[in-house]
Amino acid sequence: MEFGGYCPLPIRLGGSWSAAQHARAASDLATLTRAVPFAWITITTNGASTPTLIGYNSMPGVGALWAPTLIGVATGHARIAWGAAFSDAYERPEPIRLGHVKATPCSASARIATAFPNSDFASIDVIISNASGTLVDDTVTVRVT
Amino acid sequence: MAIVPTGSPAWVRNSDHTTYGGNTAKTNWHSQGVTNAQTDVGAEAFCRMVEDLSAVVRTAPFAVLTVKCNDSSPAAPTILQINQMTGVTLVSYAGNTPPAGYPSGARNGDGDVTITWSTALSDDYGVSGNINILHADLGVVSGSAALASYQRVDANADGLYEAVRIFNFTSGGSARQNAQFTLTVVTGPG
Repeated sequence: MEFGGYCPLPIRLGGSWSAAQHARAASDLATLTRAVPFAWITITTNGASTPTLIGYNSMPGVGALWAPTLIGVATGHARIAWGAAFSDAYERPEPIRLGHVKATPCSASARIATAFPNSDFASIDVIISNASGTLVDDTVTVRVT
Repeated sequence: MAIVPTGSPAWVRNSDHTTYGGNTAKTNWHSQGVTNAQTDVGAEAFCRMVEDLSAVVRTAPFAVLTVKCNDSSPAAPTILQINQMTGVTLVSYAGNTPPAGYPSGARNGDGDVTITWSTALSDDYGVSGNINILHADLGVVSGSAALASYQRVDANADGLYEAVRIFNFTSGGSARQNAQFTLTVVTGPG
């Protein structure tokens, strides 16, 4: 039994969607949710002024509408702050805990980019410097998991 | 006639739960829940599945590839392996002779290469989606201190970014010859 007026939910496995196929889909999806990043964000730092958002992908949504708060701290130093929790489309709120961050410089020049989660685990700091270690404003991509 | 899936391929990133048949008001028929967990999938489980799927589709990398620059005898970079939403290669290839559907690689200078995808690719059902790179992540493959950075490239000036230029440096900031790196690419709507 499957979808539709004559075959309503619950879905009865079998026929064109077998229990084995459903099991594979469920297992693969669960696997992906464990390791896929929570968000990707690319920004350009502007000293103590608000950084410029270049692009944003996150599990809740894609685009500037969904982007976190951007804060300029100093030259080459920005803070990215998410809310403490997000709701999915079914309005199930869940807190976030940013466990891993990785920064990559987006520049034609030699740059060192680092990032670290803050103690609230809902915001991160991003630092970008030249090869000598001097902080400079530039563009950086951060992967957040 | 072959079925045409709803929405766009995953790398276009515009799917939500409704793309997969989810609905915030979806219920089981006559509110009759699952009667046998071994054979039935209820509306609650289905809605969780489509919501989680739309979430991971938004942030899953489009491609992860490891590339070797060829600077001693200047040549196109070698793509050692690539895992991409549309397929996985098991053998390396020269960047100037990419297999269909996989990116090309061109050498600009020492440690400086451009990786270029087609403007659009198709999924398993033949649905086409534009390639528009929003983010990239670089991992330096090296036994010594080294740096790498990237820039997006709109090779055909259509407003979408289908290429990434990678710059490899020594720790002192000089171009690094024969560099190897792992590039992760994330696409967005376009």
